[in-house]
Amino acid sequence: MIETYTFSNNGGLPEYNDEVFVGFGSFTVAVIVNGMNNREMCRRVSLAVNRVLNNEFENMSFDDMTYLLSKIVKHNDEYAVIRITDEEIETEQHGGIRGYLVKNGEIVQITNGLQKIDNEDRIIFATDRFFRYLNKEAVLADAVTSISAEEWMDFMINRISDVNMLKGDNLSAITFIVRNTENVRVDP
Amino acid sequence: MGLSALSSQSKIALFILLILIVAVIVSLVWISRLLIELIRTARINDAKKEDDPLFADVAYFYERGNRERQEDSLYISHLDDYVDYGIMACVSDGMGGLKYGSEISKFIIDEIEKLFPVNFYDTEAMADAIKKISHKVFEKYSRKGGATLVIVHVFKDMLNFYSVGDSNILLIRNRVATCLNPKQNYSCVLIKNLVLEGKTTEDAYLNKKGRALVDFMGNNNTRVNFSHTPMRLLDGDILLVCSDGVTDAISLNSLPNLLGATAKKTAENVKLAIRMKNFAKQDNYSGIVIKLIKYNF
Repeated sequence: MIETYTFSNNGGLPEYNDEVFVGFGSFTVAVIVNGMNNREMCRRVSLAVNRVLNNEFENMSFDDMTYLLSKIVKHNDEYAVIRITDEEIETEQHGGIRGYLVKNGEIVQITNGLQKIDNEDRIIFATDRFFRYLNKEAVLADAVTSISAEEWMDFMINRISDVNMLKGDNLSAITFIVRNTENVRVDP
Repeated sequence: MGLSALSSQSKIALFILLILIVAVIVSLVWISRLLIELIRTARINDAKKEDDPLFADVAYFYERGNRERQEDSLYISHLDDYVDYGIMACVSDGMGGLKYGSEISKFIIDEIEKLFPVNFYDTEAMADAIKKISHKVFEKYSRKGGATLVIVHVFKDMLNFYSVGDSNILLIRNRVATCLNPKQNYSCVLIKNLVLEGKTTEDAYLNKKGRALVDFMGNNNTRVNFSHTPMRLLDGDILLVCSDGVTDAISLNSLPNLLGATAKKTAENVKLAIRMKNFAKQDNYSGIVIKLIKYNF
């Protein structure tokens, strides 16, 4: 199981121009679009993503998914596609959207392609404006301290708020925690 | 033409040539073995360097500021135990304005000392033990007083940390200071609510109760924030475990400017920098500096 939490905030601006999409199935698909500088691009990519997510994405390979998107998006559009299961993560990141993997007490940037992941690994993808107010040590500390994907996000938002009171930028991010099913505790 | 047809001088020359060829081959084999051994030794030494644990250079400061009483308490585990159990450093800050602040912080530190040595890899058990200490404070003082608590536990090159309240665990790496522990004050609750409403968060900072603690040692059913997985530390990292009297006086951005060559020098620099500010309402300020160093023997 992949625990997921998304954060979208207009940062005091009249419009929220980014987009964060999540699709759940036997695997989880997420797409983040950075539309801050290009609303038209964001609408175009959003349309494409909606088409993918509404089009039985469970039966699509990651390559099919990104190929379909690449037909619609332009070369310099900023977006990231993430396909994640309990065992692996496959990503394609364009422009100023990046991801980090927290594993064994360390944090590493996620590169495009396929990567193995394990139980309790934590993953974040966000726009560069979100990461502008955080350093890697802060993201790592919050990851190892938090008990859920939502709390991890809350801790990071507190840090950003301490710097800019969430004013001035659209902020978009998504956090994942890998929870192997046998480790999920159900309280009676 | 057979060998017997050669002159005796030619036979000797051929024999010497053969001996020379064998000598060259033997030398080459010997040199290559030597080179392989040298490379292997260098690799083993490199691997050893990576495996070498980080050593801890530790110092502390413990100042009353302009308060009537010192309500902070400290504990540093014995460095003789470092190889087997690592080092544990704790700061507890008695809550100002409530009774028994110093008594409670001292009680907490005494109880923490009794726990050492703790299993580095069982942070949940340690968090439960801290929770039990908080419950003892709750039963004894019935929320008429309380304290914050921050603990770091360094073992080999890994860090675990525990936090209740709003004291600080700071990591200074590459001259950038980062607070590692989340704070348990009312402004965090306000920020969460404002974010859910899609608002900016300035109201959380303007609220007079923003800095009030929502959890502390001595509260009922205290939440202990802790690292569920240890964080890897690096050569040259500096940890500063301190009460909020330190961070109220010195910003995180200016803290790296106070670093000295040793933990003692850094502790002195921080102490003097706060003293020099001479704030009329300077809170107690106490901290433990741990500088992690990898020695190459």
